[in-house]
Amino acid sequence: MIELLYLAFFILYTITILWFGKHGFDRVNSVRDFYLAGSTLGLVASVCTFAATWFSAASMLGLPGSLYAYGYAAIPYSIFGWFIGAAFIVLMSVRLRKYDVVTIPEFFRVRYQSKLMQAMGGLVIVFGYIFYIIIQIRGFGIVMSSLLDIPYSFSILFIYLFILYTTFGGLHSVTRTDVVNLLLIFGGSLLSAYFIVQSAGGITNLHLAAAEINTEVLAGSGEITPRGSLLHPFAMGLQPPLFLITAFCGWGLGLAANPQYAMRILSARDTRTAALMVGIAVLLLGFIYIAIILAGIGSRVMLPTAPVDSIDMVFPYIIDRVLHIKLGGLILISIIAAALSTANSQLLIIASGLTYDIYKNYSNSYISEEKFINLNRVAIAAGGTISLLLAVNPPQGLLVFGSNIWGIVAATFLFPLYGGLFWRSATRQGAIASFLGGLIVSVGWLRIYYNYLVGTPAEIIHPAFPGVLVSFLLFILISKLTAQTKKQETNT
Amino acid sequence: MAEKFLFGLPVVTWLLVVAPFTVFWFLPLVLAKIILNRQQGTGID
Repeated sequence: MIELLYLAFFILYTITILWFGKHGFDRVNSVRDFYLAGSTLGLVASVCTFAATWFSAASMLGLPGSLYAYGYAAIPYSIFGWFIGAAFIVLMSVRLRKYDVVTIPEFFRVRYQSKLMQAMGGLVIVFGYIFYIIIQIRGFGIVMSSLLDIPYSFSILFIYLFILYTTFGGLHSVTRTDVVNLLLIFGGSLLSAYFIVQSAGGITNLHLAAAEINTEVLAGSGEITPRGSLLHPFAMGLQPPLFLITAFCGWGLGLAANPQYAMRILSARDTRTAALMVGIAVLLLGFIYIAIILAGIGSRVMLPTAPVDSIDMVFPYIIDRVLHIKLGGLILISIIAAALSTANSQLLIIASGLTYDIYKNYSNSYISEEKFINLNRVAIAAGGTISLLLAVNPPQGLLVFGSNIWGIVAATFLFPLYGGLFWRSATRQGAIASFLGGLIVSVGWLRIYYNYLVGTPAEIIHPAFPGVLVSFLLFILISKLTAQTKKQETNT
Repeated sequence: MAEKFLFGLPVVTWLLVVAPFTVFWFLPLVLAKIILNRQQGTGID
């Protein structure tokens, strides 16, 4: 009976997405329409698309999984950085809109007069987001296999079709479906918190029970939670303060520099809408996170040791197998909504990186708007297909994987973007050195960290930190040096 | 000294996790309001 109910929820969701997504196709006449919905989005649409893009499978599966394993220490690791990063985006919104650009790498070309910077920005976007979409595909696959009782490798084909359909219509389609997805995310997270807290006997009882847990996190994993650590700010040493602080370089600064949010600033109707969009979206997201925090820690109380392979699978397992409620299907669909609403936005940015920032940037031949938009659709299909193939053997631990990718985004985009907006002395050479240096160190350090440093005392420094530090130093030093040289040349 | 609790959660967690969460939660909206009010004052858009 409950399986039929799940199927009904899924069919209803599919029809809704098809209906809302199709209207975007009629409204695309130019590249600005396709990438930025013609920069016409009002406050409500902007808030919905910003919040829905933000709230991904990392938030809806990875975060409850981390809360399940580490309790309250998962909050400083991720949510603190996200909210502070959003404050950076508010600051960015006012300056960025003064430039007539369609993408963030294009801002680099205009600000630094460098086609190379635009192409490098496009390249990092293509690779970074292809990997980040794996998170969404994995999240979707985990839920779909629970929802319809089908194998993971088959279930991920569904999201492939969903994201292609909703992205082909450009940001108009993405935004319309984002409104539906945000409503589902909001409803699903509040419902899950309500039912889980209720079954734990209220918030105080939930905390009292969580304080006593000292079991294995996942069956057979050997990782034991010390008694009291779920309510401790640093999980009694499992998440040391230095690790939580340096993790800000991944989640916080990566979010601040993230082109998917900067694009939302450019798609808003005006500066006021752009700035308020971020503040109001974070206000809404705060309520969703409170619900997810209670649901994540409450899940541990309901089931102290989960018989699943990864912490990402805990939340859907609790909803499907432990909670046993008729609205469970709606909660599972809300996880799908979180994955889809982020994946389609990211696929649109992959297309812009490949076609606008790399191909059009370097190609001198004329191409009509219509042909160019179709070329974008080909790029969307290609990007989606590569992500799908990579998602067949996905990484474990969505939250950690996501913070590593955002760390690379921070090490490359952050200083050229904010420095270009707020520091007059920032030079092209400084921006290129910062971007390349940050990229090489952050990618190289990830290999060093996971091959040699895990299990040593150096493990407590988040792997995003060295790349961001090098990027910062190169940006300042090379900019100052080249600005000085330029000044001397002008004087002589 | 015995550990203090509020709603079953240690006070230290309220101070180090819940309080900063609340501050950071409202930070973007407060910042947006301040920036927009200043812009309105100077007439710049």
